[in-house]
Order: sequence, then structure tokens, then C-alpha cells
Amino acid sequence: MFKLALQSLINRKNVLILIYISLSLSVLLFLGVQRTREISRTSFSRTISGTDLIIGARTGQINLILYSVFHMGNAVNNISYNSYLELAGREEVAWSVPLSLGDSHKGFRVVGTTDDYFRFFTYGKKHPLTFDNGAEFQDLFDVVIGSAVAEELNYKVDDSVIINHGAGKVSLSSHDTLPFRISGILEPTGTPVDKSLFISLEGISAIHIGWERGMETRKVTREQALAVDLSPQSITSAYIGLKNRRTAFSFQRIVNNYPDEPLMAILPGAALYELWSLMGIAEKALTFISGAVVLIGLISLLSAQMAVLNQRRREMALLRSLGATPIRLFYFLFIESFIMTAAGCLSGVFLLYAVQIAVSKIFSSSGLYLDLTLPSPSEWILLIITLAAGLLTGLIPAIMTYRKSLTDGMSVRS
Amino acid sequence: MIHLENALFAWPDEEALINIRDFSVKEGEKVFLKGSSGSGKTTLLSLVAGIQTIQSGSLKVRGEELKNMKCHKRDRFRGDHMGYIFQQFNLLPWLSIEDNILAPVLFSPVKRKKEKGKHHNKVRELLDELSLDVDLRKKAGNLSIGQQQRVAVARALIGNPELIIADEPTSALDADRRKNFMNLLFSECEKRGATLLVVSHDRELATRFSRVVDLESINGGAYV
Repeated sequence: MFKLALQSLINRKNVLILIYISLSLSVLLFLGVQRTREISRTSFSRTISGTDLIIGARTGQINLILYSVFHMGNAVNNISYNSYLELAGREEVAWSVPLSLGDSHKGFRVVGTTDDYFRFFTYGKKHPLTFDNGAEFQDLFDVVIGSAVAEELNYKVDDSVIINHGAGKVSLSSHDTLPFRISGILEPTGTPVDKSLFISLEGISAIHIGWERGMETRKVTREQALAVDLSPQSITSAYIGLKNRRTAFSFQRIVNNYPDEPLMAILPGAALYELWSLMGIAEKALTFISGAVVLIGLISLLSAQMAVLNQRRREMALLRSLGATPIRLFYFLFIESFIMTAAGCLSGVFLLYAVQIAVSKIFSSSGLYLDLTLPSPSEWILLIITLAAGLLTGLIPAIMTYRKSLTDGMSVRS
Repeated sequence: MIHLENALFAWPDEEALINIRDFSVKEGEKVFLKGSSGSGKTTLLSLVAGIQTIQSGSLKVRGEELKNMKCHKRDRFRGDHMGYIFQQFNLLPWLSIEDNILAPVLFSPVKRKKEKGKHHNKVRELLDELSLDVDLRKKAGNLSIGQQQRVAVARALIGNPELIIADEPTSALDADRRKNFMNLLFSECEKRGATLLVVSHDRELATRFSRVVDLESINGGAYV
């Protein structure tokens, strides 16, 4: 019976190949969207961990987490270094990392910080940063670069780098008299760290000597820079680790009510959640669309089956005359739909992996981590639902043919 | 072989199409049943083949009352003891010639047993007898109508069923081929001692039959 069904399918291959392709593609799309969603959610939540609070100038928490963690957008205001020192010096604080943002190198953000960054910043499951090559910055003009920066720009340790003023990819104003030496390259993390360059806070001060209101008024040489007092005046934000997480809310209150300037502190987990739920609408829309695509694939399978139903009544009458029971005819059509949907699902999954391998080859340095894993339980459920829906659509023509073959008998009364 | 008594059948919401008081076909007999179109010929064959069942009266094939059998039993019975030839669309165009001929063997264990596992050789024998020289793997849809009808005969004969039923088997053939085809069908049935029941509106076919029955003379039902 299986062979018979297969032969019958092969006979109608032209139409069915198209349906098969649309089924495979819709399964691919459906699973692909689900998988991207899961991957982006995990890579999203693994960008920062172990940091209890993020401090910045008063703004929205989404804005603050965007620029301090994702290095996207700009700070509305700086916070004075003294305020930072005072807050970081409180007894609840276990560690703190200041961040000074606003400069870039060939489209990659430059982060001014201290070497505490490499000691205390953790991502994922409390992974600390590790060096692939070299070490943290020693000198004023040392820079540590992320793995994606190194790969994309083909940088090695001891190469020299010019930092641009501002965050654009093309910048006319560059601090070109003050080249930086690469002291270390970080291991890939799959977080925005990969796409960042790190220099000391003093380095940030140094490259801004002679700049007033974003305009370069005079050129500064390395020697001149070293002669000036480079202790930082302001920073953009800071990561805070507390001795006891339970003090997070009270510390947050202290920061929010800081008398000298308008500051705010956010809990990274809550901010990430809010950011994610903002993207959740797009995510839901995508899921809905990909679900609709699967539905369309199934409907086209159904319509193709229905279109030839009348023509196939003769076929069914013939099979009955040979001794096939209506139940057998029912199975026959059922197996046909099963072969179709199963093949569609299978090649959809196969395509998914093919695409994933291709994508991970292309974007291996982009920080988007695509782990090649077996289908997750939820993906299995989606596949089973698709298969079941496919079988249900196969049942409709099967039931109709069954009924017709009962009443038709051998004379096809059309 | 076949015995009808007061057999009554009507399609849903229609007047009785088949109303036969008494009609029987003996074993080995070759009966030509003639009737104009719409007289219920095909319906009668469906009843004899057990695809439809009469609503009252009696219809026995090989001494068994068909309407008392369960649906799947009747299907099995038909598959085991009958060979059926249609007026057209006789073959599954997407199957090879060989698979078409072997389809009844697939459905019926009795026919399989009768061929003693040598059904592949039997296909060749049958095609030789029918003087059809074609590649067995060829798709049936690629054959000419005349060739298709001969393959249909081979399929009806495989497994040596006791009863061969043909429904307007020659309507798709021209006059010359029609005669050849009937001769072939006749000699094959005679060789096997099979009972042959042919229905047609074409009176010219009647010549060689042992008995010619006008359906209208035995059927009291209303014509559509």
C-alpha cells in the first residue's frame, strides 16, 4: 500500500514538488523564527550577569541599559567622577567599574574604564572576561580590543589604533596625533564586549585635551598629554557589584535620591526584561506570520488534493473493483498526505540546520551565538503539531473519497 | 454462479432501478447482457460484484448471499473470486504494466495462493497469450487504448478468478479490434473454465455467447 501511495504521488510530482517546497520552506521559516527568538533571548540575557546595579545620569532604564551594556545610543548626560567615587566607596559596594563612552574606532565603540573591568565584569553564567592574547592596558595609550574587532579589522597585539571622536563609522575628527597600542585581545564572548575597544579613563581624558565643545582647537602630542593632569572629571555610567544582593533596592534608592546631581540606578535584570518585552511585540508578530505561512502550505496541499479528487474517483473505483476495501482507500490517501507532510517537515528541519551552519560561518565573529543543538522540546512540539495538522488536512480528502467510493461504486456518477 | 431472486435496488431518493424477479448464470456460462444506456447495467454489475447491495430479495454469488456479508468481507470476496474489466480507464496510469496486472494479487491472498508465488512469471505468460509485446516496466498510461484493454484482461485473469465481469469492455475500441478483443476474452475464459458476464449496448458482440439476455426483459425497475 505504501508503494502504491508513493507511485501515485510520483505520478503527480509536478504539483506536489511545488507543495513540498512550500511545506519545507514554511517549516523552515516557522522553526527558524522560533530558534532565532530563543537564541536572541538567551544571547540577550547573557550580555551581563553578576552586576547588581548600573548607575547613570537620570534617564529611562531602557536608555541606560542600551548605552551602558549594549553600547547603543548615547548618554543624555555624564555623571561627575566625584559622585561616582563617593557612591562606589560606600560599604555595601563590593566592586565597581566606571564606564566612559562616546568615542569610537571604525564604527566600534570605545569604552573608557579601569582594569577592574576585566576583573569584575561577567557575562552569561558568571563568566569572567579572558584574554585570547596579550593583557590588560598598562600604559596610558594602551587599548584592549574585543574579538570581533580583532577579527574584522585584522588586528594583532602591538598594532596601533587611532580613536575617533564621536560614535560614527566615518568621522572627520580623529585623535590622530595620539595613536593607541593594542595591549590585549579578548576571547569571544557573544556579547557587545566583542565589538568594543577598552582604554583607561585617563586615556579618554588624554584624547580629549585640546577639544572644546566637540571641536579640535589644537593638536596635542603624546608628551604634552602626559604632562597634563589626566584624572577623569566625569564618566557616563558605572557597574556596581554589591556585597549583599539584598541591599540592591536600598542602594538603588540612595542613588536615585543622590542630592548633588540627578542620578539613577537600575537593576540590569529588570531592565533587560523590559527591553525584551519591548521587542516581544515584533517577536509575536513574527511567530504569527510564520504560523500563517505553515497554514498556507497546508492549505495548498489540501487544495491540490481536492482539485484532483474528482479525477481520482475513477482511480478509487478501479482499486475497489480489484478488491480494495474503502478502509484501504482511506489509508491510501492518508499515507499520501503523511508522506508529503513528513517529507516537508524533515527537509524543513534539514534546511534549518543547513541555514544555521551557513549563518554561523558568516557571522562567527559578530557575537551572535548559534549553537547547533538538536531540536528543543518546544521545537519537537511545533514539528508534531505541523505533522498532525498536515495529517488532518490529508484526512479531509481521504474522508471525502471514502464516502464517494462507498456511494459511487464502480460507476463514477459525476 | 450467480443467482438473483426478487432483487431490488434503488439509488438514494430515486425509484428502484433494479427489480429482477429471477435471473441466474450457471458456472462456466458465457452470458451477454444487453441493455441501452441508463438501463441499470453498471448498477447490476456493482451489485453482483458486491460494491453495492440490494435492498431486498436475494443475490447469491457462488452460493453466498452477498447482502449478508459484512462490507470488508464482500470486498475480500470480490478480490478473491472475480476479475473486473471496465469500459475505460482500466489501468492505473502511474503504475507500471506489471504492477497493474499484479494489483489483484496484492489485494487478494486467495489469488496469490492460486499463482503459487509465481505471479511474476504469470504476468509474462498472460501477456504472451494476449500477444502483447511490451516492456513490463513501462507506465500503463503510455500504452494505446487497445493495449490497455489487453492489459486489463491480463489483470482480470490473474489468479484465475471463477467469474469475469466486463462492463462495456469494447466501447473504446474500433470495430476490428473489438472483434479480436472479444475472441481473446472468450478463449481465455474457456481455457480456464471461468464464467463470463459481459454487459454492453452493442448487439454485434452477442454472436459468440452461449446466452444473450436483454436486461429490459428481466428488469422491472424504472429506467433513469
